[in-house]
Amino acid sequence: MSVPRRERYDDVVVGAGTAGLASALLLARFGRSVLLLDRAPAPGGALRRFRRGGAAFDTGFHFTGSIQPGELFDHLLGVLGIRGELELQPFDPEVGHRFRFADADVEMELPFGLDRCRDRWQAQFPQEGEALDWYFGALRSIAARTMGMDVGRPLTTFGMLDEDFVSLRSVLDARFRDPVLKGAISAFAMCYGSPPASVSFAAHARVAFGFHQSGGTIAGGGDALVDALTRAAERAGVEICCSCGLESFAPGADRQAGAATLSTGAQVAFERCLLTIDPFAILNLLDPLGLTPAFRERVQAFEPSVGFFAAYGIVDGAEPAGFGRSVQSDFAGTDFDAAMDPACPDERPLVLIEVPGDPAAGTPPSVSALELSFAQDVAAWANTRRGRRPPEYRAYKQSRAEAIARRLAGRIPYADRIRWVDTASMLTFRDYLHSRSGSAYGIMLKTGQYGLFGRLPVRNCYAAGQSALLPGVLGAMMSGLFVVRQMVGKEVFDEATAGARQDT
Amino acid sequence: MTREEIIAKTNAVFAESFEIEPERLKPEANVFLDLGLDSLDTVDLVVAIQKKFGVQIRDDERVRAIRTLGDVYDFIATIQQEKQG
Repeated sequence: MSVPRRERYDDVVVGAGTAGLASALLLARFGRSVLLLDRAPAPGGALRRFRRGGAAFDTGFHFTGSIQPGELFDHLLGVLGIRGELELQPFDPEVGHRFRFADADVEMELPFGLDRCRDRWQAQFPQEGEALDWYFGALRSIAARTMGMDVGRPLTTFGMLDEDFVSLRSVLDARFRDPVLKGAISAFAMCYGSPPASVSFAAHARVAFGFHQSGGTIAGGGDALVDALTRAAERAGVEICCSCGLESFAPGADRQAGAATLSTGAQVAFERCLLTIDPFAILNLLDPLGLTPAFRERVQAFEPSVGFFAAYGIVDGAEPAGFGRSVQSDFAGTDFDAAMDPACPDERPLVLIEVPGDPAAGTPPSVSALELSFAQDVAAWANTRRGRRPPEYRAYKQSRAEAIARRLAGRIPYADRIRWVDTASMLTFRDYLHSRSGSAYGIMLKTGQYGLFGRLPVRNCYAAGQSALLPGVLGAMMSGLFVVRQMVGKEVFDEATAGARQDT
Repeated sequence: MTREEIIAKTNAVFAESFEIEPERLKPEANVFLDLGLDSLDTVDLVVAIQKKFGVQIRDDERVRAIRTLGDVYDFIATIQQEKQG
């Protein structure tokens, strides 16, 4: 449906991705009338899968951390009331992540659990024993002091930590000596898209903590999560309007936004508006209402995170043993500040995700190979449109896909059975995900940076999403929960969600 | 950095980033009641000061205690001292 049924809602939520769906359904549960808008024809944003050759491929959601019972992802699903609708599939607890550093000729396997990973690294890097004790202690401490990450504790207000003001690079260089270990610690940069010299130690720690706890995915991938969130939102009474964006606000009194004009031409009045869209799109919507240059400059200083070039393939024949039980990453060097520089001549960091076949659904096993990419890679075609790009662009995609296939041929035993069926450049991601420049994780996480999160200087407008606090599905869900808590009041929210820690 | 330099640079932040007329920038002026900032502008003020002075500022109790422009000068002087010390 693309036309709102009513002229007035308590809350309008813009963007039906993870953060928008999660916050809309919570607001509705608190008795608010909620309109959820998305420009795309269906809800889900970057969570949506696409199908090629009988296989389903994920676009933006491949795996998450903290997936075991009682850990953060599981807890958030409980708060949202959809835990029972999803089948969580943890990776192999002995080998959740597999890293290979080609130049150093080192391979490592990361088990679930901070202590077990510390022990594994201490055995491999005996000189770094004390530094590793400190590092894993710091991950725990930062997670415990970050609101909401300690699931046994009520959420506290968001405050930046001292560790938000030091870079991962400065911590690595001050504490560690072994370049391979520094590389292994920085490798989770692939899961948030900002290089060690840029990202704060706290932001790194929040993501790394989750992936050291555990990793895994959901049966049915991003579609299963979208469908569960959408059903829950509809049950809660959220009205979802797709193919419908928010074009502009009328000016309101007392630094507030007035009625919204939608892309369909309809006008809706509202009490509050939650924007779970790109920060630059938020700026464009709010600017005509009178923002300070200070706000404008803050948003304009944000930079997009890195992105990926993706090659998608189907594995013919029998499913290989252990398929889909770990994420494999292939790195040339160990210095991620060098590797995450567009000028670096080395092979780019590559992450291989295996998705087991589903005999019941008739889907074959498939792989997604994600190789680091930058806006510069496709800058020549940035102003072209989908379906109208020149032969040079197709040649770029083909040569990159062939290079990935060659690279994997020496790396995985079943490489000769992969039938490559599609590719996606950063322009593809830009076109389908409405992300500026096709970045994978919203804005880059920078040391000392204040993202757009919570109540904005236009007083009845709020911001959430993966650029607000932390990237990925976990970050987007967390931001949605916290902003709803701000909107409905802490006491009301905490009382209503207290039971989620015990239920199901 | 001298007190005068701190005052000049801070006033420049209020004039440029919050479009406040220079004649209203007196040390006793209340940032919220007299200069018209909103508590929701605090983060933007912190970010603008960070950029102007090349310092990093936490949105901590000391920021929340700020009321007058003179408080802002004092706060920046403290931050500068900590940076050197």
